Amino acid sequence: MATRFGTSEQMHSSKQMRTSKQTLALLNALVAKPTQWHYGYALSRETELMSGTLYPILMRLEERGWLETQWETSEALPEDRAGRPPRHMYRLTAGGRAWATEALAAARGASKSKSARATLKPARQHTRILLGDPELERA
Amino acid sequence: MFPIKPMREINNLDQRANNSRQQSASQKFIAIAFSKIVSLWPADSRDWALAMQAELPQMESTQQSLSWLAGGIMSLGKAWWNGATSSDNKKDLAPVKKPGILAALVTVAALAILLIPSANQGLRAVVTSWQPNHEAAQRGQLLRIAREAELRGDAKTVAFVAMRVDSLPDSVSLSNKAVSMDPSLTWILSQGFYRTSWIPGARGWSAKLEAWDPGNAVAFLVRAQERVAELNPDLNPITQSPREQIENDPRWLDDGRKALESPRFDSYRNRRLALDRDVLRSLGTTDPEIVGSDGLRAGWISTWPVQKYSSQLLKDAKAASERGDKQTAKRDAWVVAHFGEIMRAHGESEVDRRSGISFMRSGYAVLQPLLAAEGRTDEAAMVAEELEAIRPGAPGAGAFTIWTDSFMSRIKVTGIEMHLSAAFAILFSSALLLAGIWLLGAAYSEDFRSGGFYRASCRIARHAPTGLLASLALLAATYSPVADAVTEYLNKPISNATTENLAGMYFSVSWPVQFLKYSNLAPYHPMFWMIVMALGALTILTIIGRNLLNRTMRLKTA
Repeated sequence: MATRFGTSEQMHSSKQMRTSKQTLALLNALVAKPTQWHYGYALSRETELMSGTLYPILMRLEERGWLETQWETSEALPEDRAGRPPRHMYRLTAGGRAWATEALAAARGASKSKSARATLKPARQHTRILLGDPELERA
Repeated sequence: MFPIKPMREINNLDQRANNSRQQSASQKFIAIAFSKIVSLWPADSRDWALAMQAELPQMESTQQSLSWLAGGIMSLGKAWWNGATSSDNKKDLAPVKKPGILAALVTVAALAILLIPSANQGLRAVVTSWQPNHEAAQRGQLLRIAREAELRGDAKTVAFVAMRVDSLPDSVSLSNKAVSMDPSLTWILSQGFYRTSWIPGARGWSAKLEAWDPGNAVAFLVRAQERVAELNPDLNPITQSPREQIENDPRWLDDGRKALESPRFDSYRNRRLALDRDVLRSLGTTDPEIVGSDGLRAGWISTWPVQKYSSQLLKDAKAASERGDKQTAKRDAWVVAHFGEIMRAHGESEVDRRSGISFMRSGYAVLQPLLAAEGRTDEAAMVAEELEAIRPGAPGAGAFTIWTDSFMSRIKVTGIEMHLSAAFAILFSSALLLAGIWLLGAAYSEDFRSGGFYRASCRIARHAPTGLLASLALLAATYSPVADAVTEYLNKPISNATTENLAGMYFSVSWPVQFLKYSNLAPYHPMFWMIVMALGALTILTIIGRNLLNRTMRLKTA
């Protein structure tokens, strides 16, 4: 489809997604168990992201083809959740995993070079903890 | 066998049941609110809203659910924004309807409404009233007018400003200037004296008034007000003074006596209105906040000392009658009734006339039985007839049309309509302007011809002209009585109805802003609230309109 920025396909490949510290935190959680399906609430608790931040990021990842989504089927529901509505599940696609690994590595590299120069702000420190920065672990 | 639970555990269970009931009520509310979010979510990405909703049963506490709900609202906002701005929106596939000749014609018709004086004046007056510092701006404007008038020796205009400006030291100094320029304007010293009497520059004004217009009760009433200021030099005499201290002051009561025994009562109301109209016409202003703000205050003189003195006198009259001194009793009652007759005959406002009737009623009520007891039956019958004619509610007793509940609610409704229609007009014209700029860009550049903004601009350009036309027409219709009242006040002979009508119309323009100002919403700009209210009304109308449309379509399909 033609838009003022080009075709949709071109847009998907050319538009880069901003890798904010919240996006990195989410990617970190998804990459940790790449083949497993994740639930929204569990991701929110794991990453400490509010739902109002988490879901727009999930939506953007899905829009770019990096996130696979699926609804639970009622037959597959465990006994203790019988009668409850099926939940939406997420995991990274193969392309998404490659991109996420690349983005996380780039962020680790950037945070290493910065750590030599300056004291980290608390928010960045949080990201580095999430990314498993070896320097911080040593400290 | 069932296990028997200890009492404490049972109680604990009750408490838990209570907590769970409360929790289930709040969870129920949150679930309903989330369903609303799902229904409002753009259809092409509604799965995400359902995904968020499906997580709700996992929440362990109400606080978590509320936080999840807040996230849902935030995500809904983002989804709407993306829907409006994203150029790869699926809706782009649907053809967009561009504004046509009809939209252009309606826009021209809407703008033509501004040629109608009531729409034009109404929009200016309402928007001016929204300025948070418009009182200061008005004061500055009035003082500038006074300075220019002083330079050209125009004492009337200086007097006009002196009686209107809200800064009391300026009012006193300008009053003194106007009287020194033209001593025939000495009467202005009595106008608004209840607010200026404690300003040092106003001392001695009662003596000037008495010398200029001997025999007028008003000079003594002004002097009584001076005494109030002398008794409480640091306080505002009307609102703050201790009433008992003043009412027991013999000099203050003596001023009341002199006013009561005066042969004339002239509040100078008609002089003031005539001066007001002359100056307003020469200034060429039609702003209801300037024209209408002073009509009811003109010639307002407090008769408090006379009321106090006369009630004392009537008490003395009754006491004299009881001890057999009928002559003294009759004389005192006559003095009060006579002052009432003078006020009714000379009073230039409905307030003066009603005040006079009240004095007459009190005097005659004491006098009538005294005359009857003396056997002066004809005179007693005449007084009884007069008493009947002026009893409260009698046709001749006069009645205010203003300040009644129905009058005030009409004013408030007119005010709300006027302000909301002006807010709508501004909202629609701003939207139309922005849409026009985008569509102009689209006419020259391909880049502007797709995406949410282009679609929104087309939609606004098609519908906003109708909204603009309707809001300006409503403004013209609601402001029309105000414009008529202003024209009538400036150009026709003055009657009580004219000033009351004008004051009412002035309140309808100023009331909504005053309401916002003196409520807790004061820190925000009135225009902010007007636009918020207009947007709210628009949203409600859109929801109702869509529901009706959907119902009609369903019925047709059925």
